[in-house]
Amino acid sequence: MDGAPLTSVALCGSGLALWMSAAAFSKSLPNSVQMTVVDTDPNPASDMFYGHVLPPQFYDFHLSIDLSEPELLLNTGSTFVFGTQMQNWAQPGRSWVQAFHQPLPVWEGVPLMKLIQQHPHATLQSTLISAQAAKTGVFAHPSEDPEHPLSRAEYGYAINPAELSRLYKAVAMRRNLQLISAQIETVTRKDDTVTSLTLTDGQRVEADLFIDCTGPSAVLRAKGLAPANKSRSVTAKLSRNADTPLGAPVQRVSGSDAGWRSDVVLRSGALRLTVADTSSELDGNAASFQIGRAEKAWHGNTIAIGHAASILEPFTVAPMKLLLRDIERVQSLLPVSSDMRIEAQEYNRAARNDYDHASLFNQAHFAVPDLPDTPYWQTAAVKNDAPKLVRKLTQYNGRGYLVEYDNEPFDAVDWAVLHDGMGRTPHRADPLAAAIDPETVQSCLDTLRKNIKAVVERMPPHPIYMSKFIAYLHRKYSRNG
Amino acid sequence: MNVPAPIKSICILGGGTAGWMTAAALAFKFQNSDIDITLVESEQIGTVGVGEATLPHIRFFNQTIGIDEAEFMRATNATFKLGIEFCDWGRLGDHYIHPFGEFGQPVDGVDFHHVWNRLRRAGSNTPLDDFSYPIVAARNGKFHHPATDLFKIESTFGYAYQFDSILYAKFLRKFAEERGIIRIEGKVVDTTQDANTGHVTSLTLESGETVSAELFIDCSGFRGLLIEQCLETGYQDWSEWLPCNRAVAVPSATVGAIPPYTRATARTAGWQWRIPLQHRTGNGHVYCSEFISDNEATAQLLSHVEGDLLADPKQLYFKTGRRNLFWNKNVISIGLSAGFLEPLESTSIHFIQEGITALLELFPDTSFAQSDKDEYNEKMALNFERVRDFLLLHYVATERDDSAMWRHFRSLTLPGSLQDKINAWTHRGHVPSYEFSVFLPPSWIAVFAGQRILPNAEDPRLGRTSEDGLRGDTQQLRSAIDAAVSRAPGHMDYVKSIGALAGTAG
Repeated sequence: MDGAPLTSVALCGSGLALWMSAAAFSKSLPNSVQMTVVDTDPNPASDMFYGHVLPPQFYDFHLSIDLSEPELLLNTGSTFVFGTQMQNWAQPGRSWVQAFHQPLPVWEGVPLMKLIQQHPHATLQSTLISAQAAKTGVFAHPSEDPEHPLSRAEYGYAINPAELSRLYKAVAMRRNLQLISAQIETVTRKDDTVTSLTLTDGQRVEADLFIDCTGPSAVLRAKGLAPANKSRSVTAKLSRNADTPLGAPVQRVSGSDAGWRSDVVLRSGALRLTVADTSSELDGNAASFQIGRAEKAWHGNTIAIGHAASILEPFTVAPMKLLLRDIERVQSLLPVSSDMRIEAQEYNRAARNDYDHASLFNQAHFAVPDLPDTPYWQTAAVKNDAPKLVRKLTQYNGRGYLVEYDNEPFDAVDWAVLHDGMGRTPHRADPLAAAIDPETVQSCLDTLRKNIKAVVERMPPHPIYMSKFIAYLHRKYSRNG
Repeated sequence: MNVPAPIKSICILGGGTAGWMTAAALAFKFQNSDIDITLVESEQIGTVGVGEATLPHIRFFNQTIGIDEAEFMRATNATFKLGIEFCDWGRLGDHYIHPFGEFGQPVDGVDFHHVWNRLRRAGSNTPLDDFSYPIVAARNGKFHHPATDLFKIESTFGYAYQFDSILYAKFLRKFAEERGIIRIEGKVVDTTQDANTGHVTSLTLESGETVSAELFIDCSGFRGLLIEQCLETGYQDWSEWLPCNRAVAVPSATVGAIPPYTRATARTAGWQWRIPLQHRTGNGHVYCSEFISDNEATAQLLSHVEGDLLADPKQLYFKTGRRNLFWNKNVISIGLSAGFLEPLESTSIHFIQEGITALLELFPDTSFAQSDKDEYNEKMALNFERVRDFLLLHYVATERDDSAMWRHFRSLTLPGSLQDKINAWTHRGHVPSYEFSVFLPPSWIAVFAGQRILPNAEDPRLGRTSEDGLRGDTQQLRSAIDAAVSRAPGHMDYVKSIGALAGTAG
């Protein structure tokens, strides 16, 4: 082993990226490594650009940091979501539920997707129980019985990043760590290595490894590092409404000429994120964000995560997925010594792939010919010619074939639902799908839809399920102390 | 939606393993349709039929088309395979098994091989092999199907088969013919192409008979009668990385118990396989003609064959690499006509299966969309390239320098993708992973660890657990494996117990 063993890690920054990584590290860092957290801002405004929905993958992440679902619900105003209701996306009437769902069934050796590509567009949606429940406004936890239609559903949470950060902070503080609340004044370097940070309270922080969670400003990034691979900018604004009653278990994203807005309702009130092109004047606390990624997220002994590494628009859960992947990637490549070149190379390779693949998914939301002739949509469409996206679209548009790359953050179901929602129709029928008797397909489809409908009809409205579940948790946890 | 006219006629050229596997899969898929499928083969042209060891994916192929396991094993003299034993690769005298399964279980989210490495660096000399149920079972000549209870150690493996591939082709021929495939005996003497599209339109046989089809599957072996001789698709030569270009094969009588694994022993100018079937053992020497003569290669093979020879040695010639396009115009090459990588990791039949799977996913209509071909070619190229790197690893992960071939590999500049993997592994036991390949991290770990490429450090997250704690856990795992293996039935007893013994009624 070259270099001295790792003895100290400093996490610097604020909000969700800081406390989520601190919570993860508090569980995984060996005791021999000293952990320092420098909290530069208790409530960073830029956290709104992670969006307000945790995808289903966060369930396992929470288990890994010993955070149970009851704890999450009792300590934050979080609610359940089955996906995102896209409304009037790029065109009036283009609406669908981007539902969280298990892999789609295969009938007679042919994926359901291919069998129904010849059917009207609502067909795929009608076979997704999570989409139907979201539309109807009902919720129940997915069944563990694999035969039950509800076992196919997956769910995430609508969250407030500030509340979630506080909870992650509480988890992180279960471990012995040094917490400093101050701003970073100067970053001292020797070659590629950050040697220390000087803080506004006069303290100096030294560490073998620095995790940069400082958001879009990426305070620890070396000047003169290769320029970030960035494209357009957008403006975003967050507004709250404490009185909105709880509704359907779904995020709503609505398109408009100027851009889009996202609405979620938590038990602690509603959050509305409005995003537009930079020429639009959004009043209040608007901030601007430049879409793109750092050329190298890991440079020397500094790893930029979350917004410090990459920014995508949160009309999908891409930013949350990338933040989670960043944290998992840092954990799996926690350097063994002060010589971090090999870890950095592998980290940057994987980070680049994850960003590129997540950004394909977002970009595919702009790859239609009928975009509004407004700055937001026209600027966004510029990157529709990314070769990996062209391959995906060519194959889907050709015969409904879903191209998959290694370890994509969005899986085949996500893509199938998106293509269908965007109104893409394969030019040719898949020959093997076309060879299956249409009546057989129709009868299987009818049965599937009937079963889904029957289950959805019996599911309680989300607000009722939630209030009963919370009451149950209160009883359970007060009884158990 | 546009529905171009469907394909109504398919001709498969060649009746070896590739031809009959393709025929069986298509016959099953199209059993209720009116597509005419013919297979043209000539008894005058022998088949290579040396790909006798398989990967676990073959089970999925057999299951999908509804083949009964015991019936198939009886018909092909098949034995079970838990992995491949590699001898003399890292150093003369070394041996390890590349199993179908993972090593141990993760500890706090950290893969088991890190635990093993930490204890190894602290002085433990227990090989990684001892923490794999299928390896210990293989070494003890034991076999059973994986347990369905996933909490049991007896569930922690996959398995494949070793079989007589000529009998497998025969078995699939019966299957395919029963489902309407028409077999035509004859040697192709000419091909006709469409003047505009260049598509192959028909084959002319020695008898004068012509066979027309809309889609041709070229399973004609190394020659690539359609894909190369007719369409001149071109071949990427990978001898730079994998220089072995010849093989000599000979069957022998089995000596002693029939082991549930294949063996690959490194030699001075190549390597030797030993594949135990129910009725005989297949042997072969894959070598590089630059470093050894054919006579010497045969002599070396024969000197290491354990039982009596059952036939004369058979010579084979090949060039490692792949076709520039696997699918060109209306011809799809499957099997040796598509490309060939030496059978060190039993991938020959697997590539056939990958080709068939991709063909069904991208099955054409009469419009023969360019995008279908492009996607097929991209997918298959990636499969071949990723396997190439993995095979090359076997030759470069070595301390051997006792012959010109080993010295050649030691001075080779590796493809960047492979060098990065080796660096990440030696630095900290990390295996950069991808999703789409037949060989995923556990396979890489087996070869690295078995061939003396060892990590200098492990995942630091293990620092949270004490060495004594880890030692206790691993000891427990070993004991559980040993106890389970001692309870397991013997390989051939099990074959018999499930009615899979050749020559029995089943």
